[in-house]
Amino acid sequence: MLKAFSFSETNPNDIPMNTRIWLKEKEIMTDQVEKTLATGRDSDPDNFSCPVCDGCGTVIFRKYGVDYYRCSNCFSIYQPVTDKEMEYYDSLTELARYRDTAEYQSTASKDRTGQWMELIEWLKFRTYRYLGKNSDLTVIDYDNYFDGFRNEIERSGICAEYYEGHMRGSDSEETDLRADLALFMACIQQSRDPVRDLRRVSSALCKDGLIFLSSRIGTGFDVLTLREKAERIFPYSHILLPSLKGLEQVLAEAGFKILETITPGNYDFSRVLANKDLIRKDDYFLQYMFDEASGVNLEEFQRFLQKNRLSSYAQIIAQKK
Amino acid sequence: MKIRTVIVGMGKMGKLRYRVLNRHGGFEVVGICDPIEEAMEEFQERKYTVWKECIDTEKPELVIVCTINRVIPDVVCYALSLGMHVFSEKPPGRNQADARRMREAVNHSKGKLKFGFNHRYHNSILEAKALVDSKALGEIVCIRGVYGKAGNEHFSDEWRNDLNLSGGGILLDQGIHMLDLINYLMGPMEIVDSVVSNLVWKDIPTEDSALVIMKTRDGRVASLHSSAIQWRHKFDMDIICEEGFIALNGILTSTESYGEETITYYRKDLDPAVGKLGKPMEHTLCFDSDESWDHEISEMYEVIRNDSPVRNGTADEAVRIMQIIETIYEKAKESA
Repeated sequence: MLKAFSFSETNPNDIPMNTRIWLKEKEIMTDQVEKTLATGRDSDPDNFSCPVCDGCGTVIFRKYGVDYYRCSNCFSIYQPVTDKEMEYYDSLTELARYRDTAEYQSTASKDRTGQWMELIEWLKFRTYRYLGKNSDLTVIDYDNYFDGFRNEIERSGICAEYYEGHMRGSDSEETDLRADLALFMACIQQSRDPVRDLRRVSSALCKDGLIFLSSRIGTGFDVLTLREKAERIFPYSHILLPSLKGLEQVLAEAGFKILETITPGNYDFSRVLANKDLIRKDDYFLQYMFDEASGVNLEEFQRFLQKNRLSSYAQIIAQKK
Repeated sequence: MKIRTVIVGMGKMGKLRYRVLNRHGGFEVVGICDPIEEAMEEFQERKYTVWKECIDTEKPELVIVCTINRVIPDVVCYALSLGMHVFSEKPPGRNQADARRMREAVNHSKGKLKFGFNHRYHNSILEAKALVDSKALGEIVCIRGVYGKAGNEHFSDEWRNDLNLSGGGILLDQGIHMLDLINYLMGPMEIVDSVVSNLVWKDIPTEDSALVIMKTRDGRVASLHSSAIQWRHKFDMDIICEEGFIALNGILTSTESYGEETITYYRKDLDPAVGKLGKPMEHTLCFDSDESWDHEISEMYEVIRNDSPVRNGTADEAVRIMQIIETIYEKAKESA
């Protein structure tokens, strides 16, 4: 099987982009978490089991007063939630409205276009590899809120038709669409029933159609090192950080054949390096490594994470069986 | 219903094919054959020491040929004459005449013939082919290949270095894979020049080194160094395209002696996005398993069951490759 890594010439001290709009997003997301918590739980979640494999979990960290569990079987990290909490959280619109603003969209486009172009080139390569073609495809893109990305992919020649898909809400019901390619990027992080959600994606694909799935994962370096101090994990937005094993399992259960699993993330070590002071004091090896290792060695370390599927960002391509 | 199959030649390759056939599940190995009985001890299937008897008695649908080069054409042509399908290891005989003979046989047979140019099915090659065919990096303009073996302590005594049995040395044994890949990726090649020599293994009648320069009709170039003097196993192929570059390094084998199998590619980037001219952003794909044998035999299965044409390892490709090899040997003699 393919295990890929991407090496790119980046400065290990670069802070990941989007700081301008990221701070505003962070402020809104924090506020939404607090509001949701303030509604109070009138009961415990129905289920504390792992949504991936139904295994037992134990608390791994607590963030904003919310417990995250780590499954002892598949090592996915998850937040048990109640229906009431999720209903309330889904009803909050400030984040969606902010992301809809011209300021957000134009800043995101400016910061991310390079990354999107790389992703689209990768999609072109992989669709050609597995479908023998990379143009005039019917593409369904789930829960993408970046206008810039939609524009780029529509311009790229990959799509004959581009559709927006939704994982949750009334638009998530069965469809007559039969797409060649489903983009399911950062969606599974909001899933309470990943097999059900992936089956819905499968139903929107033609025979042998591909799903391109990306996610933060719970077995990656920066997530497991920083835990509650990981800046980009928010309760209710990230109720599931599946393990790689877990992702492969739910895809198989939903009727997909895994074609490739990679963790091409670029920012694990730079995120941890930027938050070096937040690493646990008794994590002596990491403390020593970040103090003593040179910049070049740290690039090699990120490459090691990529190559061995240890980065916190995963991409999987699977084919409908 | 499974495809009734016999395997003729139960050395290393015969045993490997046996495992792959069973793994596939669509074949039933009903008989195996080898002149050395000990080679078949571990197997339960009916055993033969004479290949004709094996084929005549079992009347299989498919014959897998894993014999020494000299015997390949006889087995292949006989099986085809009986309307059986044949999968044969490379090389396709010892010389061009052998390959032509087998092509003639399949042209007059109901059976299919496929040759085992297995490297086409390796993950890195599949990826390179997809990159090339998708035109993501433009047209190929140059390929440079190095395929090296270490030899071994009994190298001089191996049948592969007996000209009468093999027909040639390291070029025919191993370099042929890379020649096939160059033709597969870039199209028909003509030989510009070659140097075929015994640089270290002086006591063998076959070559231990073959250095070849080739070009296409439209002037695109390729080179190959195939040798048994690398002292470590090495598979490297650089593919230069108009708009980028692909490097294949290593190839996964059962012994893992050719290292990890990777493909690295990058785009021509003269206004470098990463700020350093001459060091473009690279993407490297690594593979942790080799499914090439399974892909190859699956294709044979589909060809037989669907009655479809052989796509890879055809008789025409076999003749072309042997023509190229003969030209390499002839040019080397002329130069010498």
